[in-house]
Amino acid sequence: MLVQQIINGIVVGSVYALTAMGATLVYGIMRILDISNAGAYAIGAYVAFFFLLQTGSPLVALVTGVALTAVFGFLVQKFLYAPLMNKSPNVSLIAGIGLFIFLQDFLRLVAGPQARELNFGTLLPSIQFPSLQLTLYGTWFLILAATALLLLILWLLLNRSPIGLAWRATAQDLETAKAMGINTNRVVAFNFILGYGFAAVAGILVGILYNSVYPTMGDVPAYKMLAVIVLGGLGNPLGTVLAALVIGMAETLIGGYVGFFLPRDAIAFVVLILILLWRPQGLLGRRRSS
Amino acid sequence: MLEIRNLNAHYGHSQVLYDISIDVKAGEFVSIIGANGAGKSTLMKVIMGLVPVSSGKLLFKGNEISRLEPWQRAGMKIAYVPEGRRVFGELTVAENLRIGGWVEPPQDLPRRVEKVVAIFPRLGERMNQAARTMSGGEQQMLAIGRALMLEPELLLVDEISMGLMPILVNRCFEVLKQLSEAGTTILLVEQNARKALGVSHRGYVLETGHIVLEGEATRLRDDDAVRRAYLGG
Repeated sequence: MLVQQIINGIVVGSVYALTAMGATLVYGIMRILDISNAGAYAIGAYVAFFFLLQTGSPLVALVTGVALTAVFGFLVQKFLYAPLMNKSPNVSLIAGIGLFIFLQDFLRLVAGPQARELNFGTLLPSIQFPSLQLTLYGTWFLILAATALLLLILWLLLNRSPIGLAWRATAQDLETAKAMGINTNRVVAFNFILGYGFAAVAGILVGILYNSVYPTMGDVPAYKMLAVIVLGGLGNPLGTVLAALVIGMAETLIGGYVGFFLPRDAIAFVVLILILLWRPQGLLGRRRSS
Repeated sequence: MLEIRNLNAHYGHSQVLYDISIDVKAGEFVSIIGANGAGKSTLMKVIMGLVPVSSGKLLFKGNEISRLEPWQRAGMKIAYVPEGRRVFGELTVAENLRIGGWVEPPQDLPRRVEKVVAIFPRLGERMNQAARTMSGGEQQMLAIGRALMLEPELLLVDEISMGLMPILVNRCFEVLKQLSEAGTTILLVEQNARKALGVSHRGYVLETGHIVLEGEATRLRDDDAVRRAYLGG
């Protein structure tokens, strides 16, 4: 039972890490909270659903879902955020919320309000250990493997590649990075492509995990995404992974053991508030000295 | 090399620079002196492309550059040492230098790093250290070294003496003088007028966004008004 809950907590945390990574990357460079990233989560799931229906191939569904959402991220950056870049961050925040609401209603109009099945399940059998009261679901392995692989790729990209060096310099000081010869427009575009790609993977995996996609599936992830990036220290990818695991574990274990005195999502936010009272700068955030 | 003609610039809604005309010839070392808030840093940012030109001309080697992005200007070998150093604190010294030579061919970078280390041996000892862990003086050396990675044709330096101990201030000015003697064209803006005019060929005095005086550095040092206002009597 405990092992089951812990693995479940890690799986939930992995999904949160992928969900919040896109917005973390965007915040790291732009210093704006990109709520519409949670819209990309639903878009990715719907595109994958559509292509699964059309082609019957999970691989085609996955690749097109991620690729088209990444292209969408590029367009959002180019036509929504880039023109607002010199305005106050509040303007971008409101614009992002607006886009997020638009995306939900757009999906409702195009695909209908009902939940659809995103069924990859037959590919992924479960393994049961009745003596241990343990069931390992095939989807769990998929999620853990995908998260580990993507985070490894991201780490290599940020820490071992020229574009990663440009990303880190731009995240620290955009103006100076520009003056040193870094084409920061390109870094920002790359950032959105990567960020929305991550959101799409998260949306697709959650669709597979719960076997459903629906227009408002990005709602709760949008709030959780904010909780995770704030808890992680705003714009720190490693902090985001840590915070996602903390929140995933907390809501699974508290929900499973202490009981459902609160809905699971509420538990996540209680944990967030308690940790922020203890560390206002987030788990891996550095206090900003001015 | 650099020609600024009747240039006006705004920071937000307020005008900061009025009708500025400045010339820097190839090989020259020119200083712009002025009090805090006179618009010196804004002028540097305008030349680098970080603040837009409202009107007027900004020519580099005869080409209008005022519509170019900052990274394109860096590509033309205009290097910038920003006010307050602005090194990338979370990056190592080596990574900071790599970024200084971003627009240059990667295979040429090791040679340039060697050249920078020859000028600032301290940086060589600290290659893999995060820049934020270094002292203010070392960070200033890194900021200059990072700019030199470009092997610049024009070096823009914004306040080299700010917040440094006197011995380091002298060292930094000495380095600029050597670079100038080696042929680098330098435009320095500086509050420490005595030091700046001591190393440069010519100078301009900037007051609340206007150029009020210009001339040979030696002549400015002897000018009564300059002495009273900037050299302490």
